[in-house]
Amino acid sequence: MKRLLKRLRRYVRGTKNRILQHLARFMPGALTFRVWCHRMRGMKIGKGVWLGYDLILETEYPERVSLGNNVEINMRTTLIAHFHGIPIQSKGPGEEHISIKIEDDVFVGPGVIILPNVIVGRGAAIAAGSVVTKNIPPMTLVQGNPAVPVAKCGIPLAGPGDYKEFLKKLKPYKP
Amino acid sequence: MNVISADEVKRFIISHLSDALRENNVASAEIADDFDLMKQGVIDSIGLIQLVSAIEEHFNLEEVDFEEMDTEELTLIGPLSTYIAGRAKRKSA
Repeated sequence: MKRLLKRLRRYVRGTKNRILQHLARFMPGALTFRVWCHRMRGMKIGKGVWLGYDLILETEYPERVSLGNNVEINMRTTLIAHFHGIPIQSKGPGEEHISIKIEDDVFVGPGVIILPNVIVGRGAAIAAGSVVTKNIPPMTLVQGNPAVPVAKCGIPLAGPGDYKEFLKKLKPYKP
Repeated sequence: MNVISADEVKRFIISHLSDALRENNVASAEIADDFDLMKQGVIDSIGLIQLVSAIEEHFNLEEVDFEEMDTEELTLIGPLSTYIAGRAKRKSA
């Protein structure tokens, strides 16, 4: 009986998470309703976060994703925070359960895929269509599959900043 | 001494972007100084950073910064070439 109740609770939770996920995918409200839906699913989300259209933000374990302040995630991006029982690498005290941590002021372009156990550093930018497989240092522009650093950012692209001003302050990445 | 003219930089930019220009049906001879590489779809942010890297390598320049450039002119081929030539001249002086 206990096992049945546990399974039932898991099923109800999973159904609620998926309904909220689908509402967030298609309903308007990039700064409001979509953010609320994902918070209700258990995701940790900071202030001023902008969530684009048709995002898939970890279907099964949303609590494993953490988004900092002023993060911008553009349309059709996918965050995958679990894969075949691969253990989570702790992101620090109180964040032992976090698989994907996106720090403040990060810009995620359209159609990006972010895989488990990744930290995207503060102010980083991820170019459209990139696949992020490992940590991204702060203030770094990455691109490709797998995503690799192509430039250092002088200012973050996320938020109200000017795109050309962002371009002007980019510096080619020299490892 | 590393003196580069704006024309040399412009010629290099055109040759470096020749494939992209061809794909956009732009003839090299038609490129005026106010040709906007980004608005015309020749480069994007990644293309710009690759172009800057290529210019630095080709002309043996150390890290060109665009702090003193008018933001609106950043992707115009003429002002961009003039700015880079000016920076190279300043560094060699």
